[in-house]
Amino acid sequence: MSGNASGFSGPMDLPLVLQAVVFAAEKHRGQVRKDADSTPYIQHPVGLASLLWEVGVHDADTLAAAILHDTIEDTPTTHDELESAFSRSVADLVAEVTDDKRQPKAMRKQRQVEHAAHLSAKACHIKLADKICNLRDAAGAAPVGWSLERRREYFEWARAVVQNLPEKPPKLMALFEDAYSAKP
Amino acid sequence: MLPAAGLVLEIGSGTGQHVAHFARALPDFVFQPSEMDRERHASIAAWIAHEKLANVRPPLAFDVTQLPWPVRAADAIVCINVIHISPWEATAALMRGAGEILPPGGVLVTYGPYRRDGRHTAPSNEEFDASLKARDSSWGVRDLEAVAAVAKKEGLELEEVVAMPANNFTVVFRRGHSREDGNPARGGSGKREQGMQ
Repeated sequence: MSGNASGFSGPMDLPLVLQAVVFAAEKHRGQVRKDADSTPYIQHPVGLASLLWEVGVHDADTLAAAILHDTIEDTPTTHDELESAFSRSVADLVAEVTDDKRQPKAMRKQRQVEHAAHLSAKACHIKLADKICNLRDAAGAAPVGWSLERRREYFEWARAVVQNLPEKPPKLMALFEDAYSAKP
Repeated sequence: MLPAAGLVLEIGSGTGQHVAHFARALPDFVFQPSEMDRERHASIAAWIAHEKLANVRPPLAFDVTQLPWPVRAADAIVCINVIHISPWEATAALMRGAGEILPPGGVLVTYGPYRRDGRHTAPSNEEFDASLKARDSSWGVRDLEAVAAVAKKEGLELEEVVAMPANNFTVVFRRGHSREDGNPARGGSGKREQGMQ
């Protein structure tokens, strides 16, 4: 969809973002967060887009990919499906921030730290927003059953991932530091 | 970069969950939900309150077939799961109303199941269609070509058809410019355009 024409649709491809919300809501339907309130899962990816928008990231591909960022990892969605419903660039962005779930968890976590160093600028934005939102949740509405130790490790791991990112936009880094400062 | 105070009208907001997610993802846009069924307004209001959204107006209860609409201008319109759960006249009125209030270049984004080329796109849609008609004989999964033809009459060009999960489609219509891109044989905007040649 080439955003053009009226000043409104201008550089911001509104239908793409709306469509990403509907697509992700459908894919994550029935999934809930691990917090005590069992928040509908879709609120997490939508929260990323919200945060990115607030810091001035208005690129439609980035916002759409943020909203879709867990679809490959946590639902049966494929790269091809995202490519045909959105675009190659959106699908590639989602793939960039997707862990390989076939690997054991410890290895996956280590891989994510290493892989962070190779992310594109747009993927860095998404990864940072994801870590900010997750730390905020881990500090407040923490996953049920997480020990203090596990929460502390999670904060450390998130920081290790972020430190490896090649692109560290100041506004997002400030939000990350704020979120990190709530480490239990 | 930022579109100045864009207003997005949602037709048929249902429980309000979609408008809540849209509004949260795009905090600088103002969203106007609408839902004919007033009993659902409490649910819409609850979503707005739960998400602490300042950019969603209270829901309106207007009937799309009553023209002109109480909202006299919107920069974009979104309409999810309405076209098959309403009489055909509602779709005709949707297109007329959208054509009246969208600016040139403004978009109408619809989501839901459609028949394509005279056929259902999946057996489950055929069953769904039968169940809709059993509930109300004036409802049913529409032919995309027929919907696009009605839209065209109102100055809305089919821009894009995108396959979505669960055999649904996102269909984007864009109000034509008075002139400028007057190429009636739409080339489509690229690979995301599927079919409808």
